[in-house]
Amino acid sequence: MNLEGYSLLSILKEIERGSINAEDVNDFYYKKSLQLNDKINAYITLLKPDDKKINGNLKGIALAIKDNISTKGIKTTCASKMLESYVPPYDATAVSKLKEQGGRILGKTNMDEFAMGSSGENSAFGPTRNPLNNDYVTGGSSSGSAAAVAANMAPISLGSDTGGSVRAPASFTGIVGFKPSYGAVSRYGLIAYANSLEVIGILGKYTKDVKFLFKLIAGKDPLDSTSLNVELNEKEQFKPKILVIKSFVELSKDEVKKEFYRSISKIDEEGFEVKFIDSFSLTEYLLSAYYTIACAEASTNLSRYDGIRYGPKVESTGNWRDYITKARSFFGPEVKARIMMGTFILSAGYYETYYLRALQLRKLIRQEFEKIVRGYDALYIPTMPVLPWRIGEAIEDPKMAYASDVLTVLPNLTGSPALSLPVGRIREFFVGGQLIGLRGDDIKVLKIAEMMEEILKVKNDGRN
Amino acid sequence: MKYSINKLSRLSMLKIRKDEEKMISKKVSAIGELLEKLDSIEPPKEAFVLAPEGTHERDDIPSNFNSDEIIKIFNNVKDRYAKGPKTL
Amino acid sequence: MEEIKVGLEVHVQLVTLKTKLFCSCSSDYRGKPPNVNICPVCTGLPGSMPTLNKRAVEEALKVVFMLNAQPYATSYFFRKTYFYPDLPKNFQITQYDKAGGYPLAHDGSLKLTNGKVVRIERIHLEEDPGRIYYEGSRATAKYSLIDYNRSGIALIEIVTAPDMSSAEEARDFVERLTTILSDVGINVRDYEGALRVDVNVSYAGGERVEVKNVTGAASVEKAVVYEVFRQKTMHEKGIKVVRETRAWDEKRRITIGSRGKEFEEEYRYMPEPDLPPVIITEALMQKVKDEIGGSQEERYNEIVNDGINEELAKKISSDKQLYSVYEKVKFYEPTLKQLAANVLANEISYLMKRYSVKSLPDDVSGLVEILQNYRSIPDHDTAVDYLKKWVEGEKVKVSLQATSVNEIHDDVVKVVAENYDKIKNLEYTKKFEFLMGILIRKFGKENKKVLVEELTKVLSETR
Repeated sequence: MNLEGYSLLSILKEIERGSINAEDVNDFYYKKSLQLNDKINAYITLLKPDDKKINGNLKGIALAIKDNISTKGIKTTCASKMLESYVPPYDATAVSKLKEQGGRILGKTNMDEFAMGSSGENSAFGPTRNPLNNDYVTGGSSSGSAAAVAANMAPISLGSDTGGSVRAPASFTGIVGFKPSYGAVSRYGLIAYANSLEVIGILGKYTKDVKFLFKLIAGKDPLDSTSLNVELNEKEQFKPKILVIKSFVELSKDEVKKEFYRSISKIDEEGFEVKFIDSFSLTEYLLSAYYTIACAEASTNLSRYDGIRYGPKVESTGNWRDYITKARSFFGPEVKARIMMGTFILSAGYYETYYLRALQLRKLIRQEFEKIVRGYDALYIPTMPVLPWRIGEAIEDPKMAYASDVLTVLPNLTGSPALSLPVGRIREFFVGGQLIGLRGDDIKVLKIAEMMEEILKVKNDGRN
Repeated sequence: MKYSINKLSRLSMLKIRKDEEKMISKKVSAIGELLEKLDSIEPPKEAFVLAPEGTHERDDIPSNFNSDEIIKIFNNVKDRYAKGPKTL
Repeated sequence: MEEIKVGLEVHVQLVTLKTKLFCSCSSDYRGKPPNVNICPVCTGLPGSMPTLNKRAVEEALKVVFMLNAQPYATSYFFRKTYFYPDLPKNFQITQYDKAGGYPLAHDGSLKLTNGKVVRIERIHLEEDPGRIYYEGSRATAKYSLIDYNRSGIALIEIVTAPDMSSAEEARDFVERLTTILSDVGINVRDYEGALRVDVNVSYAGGERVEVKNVTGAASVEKAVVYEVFRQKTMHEKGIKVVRETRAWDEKRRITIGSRGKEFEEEYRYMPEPDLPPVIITEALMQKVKDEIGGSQEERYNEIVNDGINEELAKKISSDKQLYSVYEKVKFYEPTLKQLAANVLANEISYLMKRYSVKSLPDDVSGLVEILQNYRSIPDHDTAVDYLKKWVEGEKVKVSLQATSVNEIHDDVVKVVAENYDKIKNLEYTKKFEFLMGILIRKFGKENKKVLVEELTKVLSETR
């Protein structure tokens, strides 16, 4: 049975009707993954689903999980040599929620090492290749989670989003990527890169699938003090009020801009209320605030990798300094660079110069964002200013890779829900549009995305 | 901006291999450029903490994790101890 | 005589807690096999997150109040980064008073036996690291053995100003502190290694030297004696004392400099992003204050004010349990306080020691019954038998002589009069229940019928 183009919800409906069973579904995605993984490199670990019958909302369907989300008894590598053989003794809260509701794990997906990167190239296990064109990057860091969904190697997947890591690859592979409000999904078990910015997110073919899965994993978790309950009830139909900040759109390449503006005129025609403003005053500082905070948090988060309890086995006849330094040589260059800059930012004398200023910026960015967006249902801007680049290009030019985050870091700094969906096509690629709401307005953002999907019909590639 | 890759790698307990050196210093200086932009930001009058919202809810009631599951993943174990490096 | 300045950083385990500071692992680790009380949080596994033990804040606040310190309404946790094999995350979650942070409390004081007041600069919460063992000596062992059972145990750190000027004062500080801690139930004496001190010593205006990890009051004194001797000798030889951290060698009773060049001490503090701030509300402070119920000194003064002699008062006030029983008996039956004081200080404290009784019953009605009939108990041994029953939590019934209705009437009047302030604003049924409680305890259940009649009568007269 060919399930290409099927939504998760329609699959679940078919199972309920008895026309297919979970075993067939899992078999389809597993076989497809076996067949394609050599080329796409979406999975680090692929598991053959067993055929035990499971009940619950997910009816035994197997999903793809990013390899920085802890899965009990299943290797969780963060795409790093450092955790190459690490098998967590516990499940992340999001994973146990999926399991409790009848979900299975199809595999653990490739990613930028420790979620540091926007292209999917910084993996110790090789780059993920874009299913739309294998010579191009998928976007990152949840590269495998996006590629797996785009290439029909999984019905839906979990990723994580620290500065755009769910939305960037969703945009580059032409699928839907949702970053919930900060705290809306428990981070317990998500291997930390930058705690104050990140959240577990969902990548799927259709917004309705993403919304369905979001409701299954959302909610306050006693193991994560920063988690909270966001409103999950849906309001009846409404006429969305959308705000567009022109200076954000202007940061994009011309062809991206063109497709983006075209999507605006379409939703405008269909009754969306669209308002434009010229600029967001702190735009040029977004990346500075983001990278300062992210590197600082990363440098302390990653200090635990010392090879003593888990991680690489170290042979050392020297003392603990020698031992720990040897173990930590297993990090890749992107990770080392960010740890070192984090160390620098937190050093005596520089804390005030950089870290504190970044916090101040973050505060101001939050204030300005809330002031501007209040009164609207969502902000609408492109997800990525560029189209996917050729694999290898950014390695020579890290500045370019960092700059590509400019449109995605804002909701991480503000804690807002944000969603990327395909809103235009250029050659084999898609242009992703990004909806950003006020913190807690997750369902509203998902709802607007559903309406836009209906209007734009960018992907006429299958049943739905 | 005053930082030395040598000092930062030592403080971070990282060793930079010869073949990584060029790539890492490129990345470091790309991030460094982003940091430099902060110089034009007016610093806050007083230091402050941007703490997460949330409440503390855990009561003082023990519930034990199966410790064998953790010992199983340790790299080196001796009599249930994690075997670590020399400390002198 | 040149000036000696001693400041202490005292780390105290909150031994009254059942779980660790940031995870639900049992805190009862002494005498346990290695690595039994561990979980993903206290072993620093990837993806684990800390959650604060609410009760730890309350226990810490008890100490804050006992040391007359001021809690901050909002305080934060920070990460203090340093690499060491006993620290699973290679950062310690602690509190910090710089970079916009506030510790749990500030500006307290402790009075030494000689009357000198030592200022306490701050008190904060933090987690204990794991423990390292060596086969043979640390110097010759080829590897370390790490036990994470202690990792994550709740500590408070009490930081004093450099106000002590002798080894004796430093010792006295730790002893006084130990007593104060036990006043709020934190009996560090019963737990090995539950109180550890970093001792800062400077001599003749020289640099301050920190001696790490000294356990117990006696060792603190010895460490100061040695360090003053060492610094004085250097001073006399004209060698400059450098600011450094030294280790305390308990066996040889000397301090040892760290060998080789240590890296500049840089902890790279940053706010802990996984923990919301600690908020101290008025209600929480009141709750904790109610639990404390004053210091030994306050208890002593209260008993003496009751007209009890100093010797008995001293004995009862030194033990929180005896004091609490004394208070309860006094509440039920004020006329029994003298007798209660005698019995508590003598017979009951003897029984507690003799039969290693750890806790006295909460319900004192049995004891009140014994005390009320104390004079009619034929001999001392019988009285002690009754008391033993009560101490061991058994029900006590002293066989009561037949009581005349007249006697009962007089007593009912007396009880109503004595409790008039307490009952005057209560509604009738509440009033009745309250008084009956007292009367039943006094006269026994067998007299209930008569008591109901008499009380009804008396209350109708006083209405």
